[in-house]
Amino acid sequence: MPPFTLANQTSTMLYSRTLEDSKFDYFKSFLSYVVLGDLSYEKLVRPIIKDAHDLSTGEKNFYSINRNTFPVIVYLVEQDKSFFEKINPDNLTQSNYQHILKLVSHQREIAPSHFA
Amino acid sequence: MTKRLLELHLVQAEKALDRSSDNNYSDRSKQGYHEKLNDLHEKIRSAFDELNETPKEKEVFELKRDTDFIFKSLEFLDSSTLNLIPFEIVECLKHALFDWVQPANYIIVTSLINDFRSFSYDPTIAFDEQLFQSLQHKYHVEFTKRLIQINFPRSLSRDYLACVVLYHELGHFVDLKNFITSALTENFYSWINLNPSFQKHVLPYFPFLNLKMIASPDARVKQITQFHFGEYFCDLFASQYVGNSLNSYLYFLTQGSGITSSTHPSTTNRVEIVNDFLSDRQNILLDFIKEGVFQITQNPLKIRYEPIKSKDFFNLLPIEIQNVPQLHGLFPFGWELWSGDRMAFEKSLNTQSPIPSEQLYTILNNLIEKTIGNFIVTQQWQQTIIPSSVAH
Repeated sequence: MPPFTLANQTSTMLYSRTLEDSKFDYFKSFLSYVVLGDLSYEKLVRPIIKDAHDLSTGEKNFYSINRNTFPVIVYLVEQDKSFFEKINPDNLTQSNYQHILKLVSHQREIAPSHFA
Repeated sequence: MTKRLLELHLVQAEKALDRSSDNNYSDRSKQGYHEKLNDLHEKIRSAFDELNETPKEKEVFELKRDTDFIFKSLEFLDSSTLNLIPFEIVECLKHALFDWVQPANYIIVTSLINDFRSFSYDPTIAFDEQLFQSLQHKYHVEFTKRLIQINFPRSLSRDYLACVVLYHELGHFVDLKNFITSALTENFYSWINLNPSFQKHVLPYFPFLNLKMIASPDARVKQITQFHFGEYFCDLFASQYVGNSLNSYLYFLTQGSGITSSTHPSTTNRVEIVNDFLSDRQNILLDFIKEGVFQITQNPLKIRYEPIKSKDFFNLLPIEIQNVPQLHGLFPFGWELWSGDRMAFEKSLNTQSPIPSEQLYTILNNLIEKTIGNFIVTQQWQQTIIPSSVAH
């Protein structure tokens, strides 16, 4: 339908953040706390990493991974599928967390959002 | 300097909360949400007071982001214009929305916009689950409800014909919540490569694709595919509730465009897939979409409206609606009456000359509104009566 769009973005704003950006920001933020040693944030990142593991091994698919964190999970697997295949999601190490933080700290490819 | 800027942001939020403190909400859940915002502001203020003179960038960013949430929530709450909202339309949309999300978790607020094209939903904060997790983790403030804002063009807020567009927009909302078309797109290329015999049936719906792109789609191609899946899905979603009435409107708005753009499929293709859905005709792409939607939501795409047979409108009487599918059926019915033969109305008005279009427009909208209003009252009455009769 031509002009009817979701109002979560506008081109006339000083800056704009999409829902997807927000999901990445929070994940990155939670993960950086874990890397800094605040393990209380582990429970907020583990389910995402577990889904990335399950998606990479085929235990889950694009239809069954968690919907709230879908873009983050898909992005992680796209970035380093073999890493997520190999990790043990029930026993994640600091080095695992550091590697994942590095993956989400890259500039993501910029493309127009579906809901812009 | 940064700390001072953050302080400014916090004071602005405090003032905004003060200004909204007299908001008169129609229900307790909005009041409860508002009170949570006050708690949150207090907690953010305490965290601010604990910062040293040169806080880390991350600390400032997080407190700013948390304060932004207060502003955004107030923006939604303040615009919930109780006396102006077309609550009859909202009621119908609520029924459709609650087929797809848990009603207890959401508060719907509405806003009238000075733009005749502004039919939309704003789920900006409703679907940001990590935001709510973060607020709970850091400040122990739990928001059990999520705000969804429905925007209406002020000039069309009581137009029961044009509002079928909102059912299409609701599709975008459901899509965004579940990442439906993102998942369909991710699956699409492996599916089509595994089933080359499907290509000749499916590719006409994506005329920008060639065999090379299918074998190895780049990010841009995937994105256009996702845009197109989005529109196909939302058309199908809407047609569950309003039949093909959206097709007619779409043809008018796009001048029946056969042109495919980077964001939208051609109207011809969109209408075709909806017609196949409504007629239960075999269509491989349609089956692919239906299967994906079901796997993701555990909810099937299916016809969810009941055609209206009543002749009451011709006697200028509201219809007695028996159930929710009939309630949605009012919209295609309205379109049928607007587009069809007007003789019956002319007869009931006892006029020899053709009924003036503005009169028909007013009559139709009034009758639909009254019909929905009666249904709402009856339902509320039944909900009041049934619990007490159960008690006896």
